[in-house]
Amino acid sequence: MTKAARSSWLSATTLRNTTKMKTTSFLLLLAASSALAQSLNLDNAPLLDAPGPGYRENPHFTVRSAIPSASQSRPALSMLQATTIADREMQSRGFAEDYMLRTVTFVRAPRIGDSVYVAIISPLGSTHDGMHREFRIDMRGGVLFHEEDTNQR
Amino acid sequence: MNEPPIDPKQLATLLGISAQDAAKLVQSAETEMEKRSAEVLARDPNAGRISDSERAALQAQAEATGVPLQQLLEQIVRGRAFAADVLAELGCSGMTISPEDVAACFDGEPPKGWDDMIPKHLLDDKGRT
Repeated sequence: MTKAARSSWLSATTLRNTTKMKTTSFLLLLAASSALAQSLNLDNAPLLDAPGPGYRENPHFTVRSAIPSASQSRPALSMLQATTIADREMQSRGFAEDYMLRTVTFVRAPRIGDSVYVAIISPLGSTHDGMHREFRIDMRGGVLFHEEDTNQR
Repeated sequence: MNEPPIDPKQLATLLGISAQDAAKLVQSAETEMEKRSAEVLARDPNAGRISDSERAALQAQAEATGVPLQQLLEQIVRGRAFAADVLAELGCSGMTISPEDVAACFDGEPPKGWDDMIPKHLLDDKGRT
């Protein structure tokens, strides 16, 4: 949020006069955590969809072991960020038309350098039929830097 | 699902402000959430995507609660888009919230009890003041 936008938002609240908070960040943090918690209430539903009709069954779609919890000192990215990165990377590699990115990882806070597993379900007969790939994400450069093709056709 | 994102009473207690002022702050935060999520989704329509399995879970929830499925879907998508945007802006470490994340919102120490306002499963391992 820009300074001007924040200032504008502040003016619409009583924040400045009634609390010791200097920014709106805490409120936004609370709102975000609440939204996220509601979203994660869906945790019982598998993030990884089973292949539906028209898609090849692939046992390797099972997401593997959880990423070990990382040290607090390492920067991290959210699963949503990881998903977005992986999605864009896949599209940049020419998967735009015939793949369905199903999930990235079950781990809620993948850290830089952790493995992030991307499951792909491609329609039968398509170029990337039944492919499964896994990515390792490194956000130091803001991009995904390493890819292991574990094609399990 | 339809509870306010922030409990005004808790906020009032935490910040030592009146319930009325806290309610105003919560309302402002909700307005900001609506605005931001719309902006994020306009930029990236895939933000906050929902898997088929999650959709099925929401369908069951809709049937159990009587809340229209579309409303639930939109709520989750908006919430995810908003949360991802805010957490990234605040530099939070992934989908957990640490004392450091909260401390960064204040000039000094965050008020005692801040962690009671954040869902426990979102607090990281050191998520206690």
